[in-house]
Amino acid sequence: MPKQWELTVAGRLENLATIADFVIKAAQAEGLNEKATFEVQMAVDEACTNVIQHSYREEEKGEIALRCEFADGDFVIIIYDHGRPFNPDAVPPPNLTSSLAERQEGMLGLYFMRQLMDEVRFRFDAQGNELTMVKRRCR
Amino acid sequence: MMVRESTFDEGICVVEAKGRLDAAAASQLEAHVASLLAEGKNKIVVDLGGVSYISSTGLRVLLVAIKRAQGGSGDLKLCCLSPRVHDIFRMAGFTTIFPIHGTEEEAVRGFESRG
Repeated sequence: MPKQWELTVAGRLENLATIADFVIKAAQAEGLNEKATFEVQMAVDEACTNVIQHSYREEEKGEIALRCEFADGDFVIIIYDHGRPFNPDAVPPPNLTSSLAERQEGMLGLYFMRQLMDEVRFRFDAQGNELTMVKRRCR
Repeated sequence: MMVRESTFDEGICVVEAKGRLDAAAASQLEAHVASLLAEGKNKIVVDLGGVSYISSTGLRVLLVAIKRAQGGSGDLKLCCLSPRVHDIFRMAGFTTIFPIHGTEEEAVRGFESRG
């Protein structure tokens, strides 16, 4: 049975540092290499920022729970919240080549998560929102 | 997370950021740079040498700031990016829209040579 790492914090921006420390500690303890550890903490930071800013609208309405484990060669992180669901398919991809004047602000968070992780899956139901992200072969 | 602000000749301001530029810290940088711009100080160097991580929110703050600085006939230049932070800028396609210098001195000289 692989070891599971769990953390629950209030959905506030000042807790992002605590979340990052937790993910880095878990990733390092599970033997992820330095690059993978950095990428995983970044994907989690972006995901939790989205929860706080968009699902909870920075209104301190709920908690964020994280669980991670290393199993079958993959580092798996699941993030739970009870904020507003959103449709990730409705988020347009960022334009990475336009001029400065035309460069739109935002829309990079989800793009980063998908670039950094091998799997990004959302599930929304009456129990809440669940985001699963997987990093493969990262030791 | 902000530790130092220096002002050079011609009103060039250097802001040194440190630590993690996540969404919480980015709001501090946003307020700091916004106050400079409100004072008409629109030649800004942001030294990211002490920054270990920048999130999309931090990038958005810099994007808004460079647009405002250039709109005021100034500019916003970056310097001293670590390889990890430079990778994030590259992933975001930001290396083509920000002047990025190896050292603070080079960034400041970039303003001076432009007159």
